[in-house]
Parts: sequence; C-alpha cells; structure tokens
Amino acid sequence: MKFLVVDDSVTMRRIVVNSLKGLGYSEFLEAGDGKEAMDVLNADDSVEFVVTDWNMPNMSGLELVKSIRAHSNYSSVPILMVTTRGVKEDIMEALAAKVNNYVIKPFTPTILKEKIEQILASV
Amino acid sequence: MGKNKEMDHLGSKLDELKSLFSVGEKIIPGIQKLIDFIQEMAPLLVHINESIEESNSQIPKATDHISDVTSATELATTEILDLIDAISSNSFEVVSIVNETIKKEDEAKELLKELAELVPDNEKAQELITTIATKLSVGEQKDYITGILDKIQMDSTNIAIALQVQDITTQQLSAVNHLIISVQKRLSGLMYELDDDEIKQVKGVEDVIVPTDTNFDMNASFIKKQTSQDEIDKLVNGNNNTSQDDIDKLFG
Repeated sequence: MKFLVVDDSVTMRRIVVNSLKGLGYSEFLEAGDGKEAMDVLNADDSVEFVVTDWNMPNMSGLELVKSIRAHSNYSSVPILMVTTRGVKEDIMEALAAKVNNYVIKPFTPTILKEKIEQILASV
Repeated sequence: MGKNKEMDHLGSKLDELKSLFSVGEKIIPGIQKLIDFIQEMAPLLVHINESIEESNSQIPKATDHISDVTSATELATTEILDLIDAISSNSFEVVSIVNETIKKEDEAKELLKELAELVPDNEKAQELITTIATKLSVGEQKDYITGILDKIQMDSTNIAIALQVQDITTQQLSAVNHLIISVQKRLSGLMYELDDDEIKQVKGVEDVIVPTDTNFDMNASFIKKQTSQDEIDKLVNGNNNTSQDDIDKLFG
C-alpha cells in the first residue's frame, strides 16, 4: 500500500513514516503542505492512503481534505488526520470535510495501526 | 420708556459678564493645575515612549531567538532520529549475526556427532567432544538475546515517538512569536513624537506586519489536556449521528 504523508515538520514526517514502516508498510511519498500534496496526487495516481497534519503553510490539512474530496480522480482515497488540534469544533469540522479518522498528537504506533485498520476495514 | 429698557438690557448683560468672570475665577486655578500636571507628565510620557521604543527594538531579536531555538531543536531531533535509525539497523544486524552463529553452531554440533562416531572407544576424545558441544551455547541464549534486542527496538521506537514533542513545541513557539509580533504592532502604534509642539505618530508602525498565515495550533500540548483520543473516537464513531444542526453551527 502506498502512503502519502503530509506534514510541514520534517521530524513528524519521519516519525509517521518510521511508525508505518514498523507496521509493515513500505511505500511512501511525502509532502510538506497541502499544495505539495495535491501536486504529488496529480503526478502519481497510485497513492492509496493519505496521512495528513492540519496546521501547514500554503494549504492546510483541512483544505487538502476538501480538495481531495472534491477531485473526481481521488475523491475516495482514505484520509487519516494526525494533528495537535483536539477541540471538539475542530474534530467536527474535519469530519464534516470527510476525513476517515482522526488521531491527536502525540500519537503511538498502536493508535496509528488501530485507526489505519479501522479505515481500511470500512472502505 | 425705551431708554429704561435699554438700561435694563445693559444691566442684564453686565450681570452675565460678572457671572462669567466669577466662573473664570473658579476655573482658572483648575486650568493652571491641569497645565502643571501636563508639564509634570510630559517627561514621564517621554520616558514611557523611550521605554516602549526600547522594548519594541528588542522584539525582533526575541522573535529571532525563538526561531533559532526552533531550528536548533529540529536539527537536534534529526540527529537523534538518525541515531535511532542506526541503533535499529545495528540491532537488526546483530539478530542476523546471532542467527548465522546459531546455524554454524548447529553445523559444528553435527560434525562433533560424526567425530564421536569415529572414535567410539576413545574415552578422552568422547569427553572432549562432549565438553566442546556444551560450549556451543549461543542457540540456548537465542531467546534471551532476541529479547534484549526487541527491548532495544521498542525503546528506540518509544524515543522516536517522544520526539513528537519537537513538532508540538515548535507550534507553541510559533504561537508565542505570533503573539510577540502582534504586541510589537500595538506598541509601535503607541509611540508618538512628544519632543515638538505637535504630537505625531512615529513612522514605521506600518512596517510591522503580523503574519496572517498562522500554521500553528496555539493549544498544542504534549500532555493531552484537551479532548482525549477516546473522546475523539466517540465523535468519529458517532459521526453518522451528528446532526446537521451541529455541523451547521460550526460553519456559522
């Protein structure tokens, strides 16, 4: 399964990718913000799962989710949001934008695994 | 008759003038006090202005320092992650070496068996073969060794996961930076030229630009004080039950 990991923090991208490797996944693409992520998606139609942060420059994670859902080519790609934003209003807004699941930072590999499996089981 | 009316009118006006002087006599000390107060306050206002100016000039340095801290922690975090990757890679290599050693040990034990069959009547040789066989004990230690290596792997993973603190503190520092720049903008707006007769705003207020691209969460916390993951899960799992009203409220 090919993952697209989107986060403006190089550290976080590395931690997410390492965690995914620990879960047995091996194919990854990375982007530093929503805009870059859209470019990656437009250039590579084999992305099967998006893990994205919310707070990013140029295009936020929420805007990315809305853009993905509005695009006919990849509107159904599963999206997991991994963010520090934990207030109810933010979560509701992300759900309204149709993220598949939501993980709050700091996360553990166990939670990441659980959420990915839940998403994959439901799509 | 007409002259009497005029005289009355003149008298009335003189009374009004008298009242005015009387009011003036009462007000003038107050005005004098106000002037004295302003004269006393002027140096203080100049001092305040200088303090604001000095504080304002320090703010860019403060924001630079915060940015430097962010860069330094990111660099340090990258180095730690590199080391964790190296530890992980080394422990995998150790596992591989242990497995290879066990394989060679098993081969050696087979050879010892063959050797023992070649010298069945030589007691001393049999004794030596048995001693050598007992020395080949890496295989017996395999569970213990792999247990230690698994623990190293797990600890490394936990250290890497804990490094999420770098991203979280970066967001907290960005929020502080944003706040400082906002304060600088306000302080700049408070600076006035008080030296001259006229009071005018100091130039440069418009130079302070508060970034609108706030790509940080000012509530970011490494210690989860906000909605816990369990509560989030309830919201996510109960999404189908979320009323349109709830969603509409979010969009105002």
